[in-house]
Amino acid sequence: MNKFFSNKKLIVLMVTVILTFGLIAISINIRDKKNTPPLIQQIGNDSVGLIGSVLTAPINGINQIGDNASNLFDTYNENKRLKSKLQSYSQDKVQLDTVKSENKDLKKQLELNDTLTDYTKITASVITRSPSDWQSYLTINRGSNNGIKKNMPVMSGSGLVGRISEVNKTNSKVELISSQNSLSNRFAAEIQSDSVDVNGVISSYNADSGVLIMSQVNSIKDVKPGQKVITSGLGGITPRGLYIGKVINVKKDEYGLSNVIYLKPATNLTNFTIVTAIDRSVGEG
Amino acid sequence: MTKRRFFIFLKQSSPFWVLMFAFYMDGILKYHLDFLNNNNNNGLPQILLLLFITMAFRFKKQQELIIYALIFGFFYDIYYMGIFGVYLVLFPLIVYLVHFIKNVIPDTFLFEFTTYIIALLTIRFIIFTFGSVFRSVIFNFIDFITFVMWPTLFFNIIAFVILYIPLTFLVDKIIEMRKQLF
Repeated sequence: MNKFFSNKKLIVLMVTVILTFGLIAISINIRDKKNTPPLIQQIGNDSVGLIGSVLTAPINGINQIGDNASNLFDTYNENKRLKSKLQSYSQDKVQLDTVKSENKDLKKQLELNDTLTDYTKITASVITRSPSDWQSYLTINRGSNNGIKKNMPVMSGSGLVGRISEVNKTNSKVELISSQNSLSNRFAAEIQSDSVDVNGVISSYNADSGVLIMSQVNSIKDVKPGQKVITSGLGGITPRGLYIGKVINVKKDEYGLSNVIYLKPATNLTNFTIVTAIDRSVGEG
Repeated sequence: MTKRRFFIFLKQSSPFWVLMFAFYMDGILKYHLDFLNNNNNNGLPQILLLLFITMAFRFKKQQELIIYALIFGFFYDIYYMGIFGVYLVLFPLIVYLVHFIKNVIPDTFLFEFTTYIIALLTIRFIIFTFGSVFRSVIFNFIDFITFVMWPTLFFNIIAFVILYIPLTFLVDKIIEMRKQLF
């Protein structure tokens, strides 16, 4: 063992450790401050993504075929269920269209430009998922060429799944709301109800129980389980009205000082193929 | 470039293509295997590490594999983690250490298996330590073991047992093919 710990090797080892910490710290700093990663990273990401799409596209396609095949077995029962739901939905849709056009007319009359609820959607499909325990990323196949910007919220199916955290030219990374990175999954949220006025911030995700934790609530009066929680638009980047989840219960936080609300996320956080990035129409500030 | 030269180039750089396939496999397996993502599990396939260790046990020259480890560590970092410095250092370190001990230990399945498990555990613990130091991760240690280490170990042990014979066969074929070129 003496030969291994000779002076030269020890110095090399120490320099490597210091350089590693330095590199990681610098790249975390750059990533948090800038809107797009540095050029080297962008080029690397784009080229790896392009080559990867050659490999991942057929496998994703095969997986989808497999999903469709297994769905075929359940088709009869599902069809029965869906038909009964459909009848109630067509009435809802007619009502929604009427309300939407009335909303548009009223906004025009008041000469309002875009409000907090207006947004455009960018649809993307998931290329791959990152094998990293540090942050949970999805890689999607839309980048800055398609209008994606950093920190846009991303939805899938029924609810919010995360935020865009890195934008390259042809692909981007979405950081999931279930990620353990404490800086990433903050969303300004409110409870959707006429009778309660509760605002807060989605601040973390408890992996043990699969609940989202909404903290910094202004009041817990009349908060009941089952109420829907939506984004409030007060954060500056996310529009208002994106569905986050349902209230489970109200508890005290870990220090016992203030109240936090536990939510069940609306969407299944394990299975995505298509996601939608939301571009808010109202600018920041 | 004539056709013959192109094929010689392909054969000479064949470890690169196999490593690239394993690189993409990590992401694809993580995306499609439900077992790794259910119930808040966060299992991580480490097929690229498996391939690096298998190659490190069999290659005679060290420099080439370390350069491959540097390149793939760099791309692994920026594509899968968004920051660099983590795998950029860890992959070459593992290859270097395996090369160091391969002269001392016998070349059987059990020893390679143990080396792989030790390397996997070391890498995951080092990355977890980095994460805690930089305060990105708010996992506590017990959650880390339950949700990350257990599915990762389970999947990678099964992957090693299944892939050991095909991969060693493949790597031996590659070495033989490159020797024949000269």
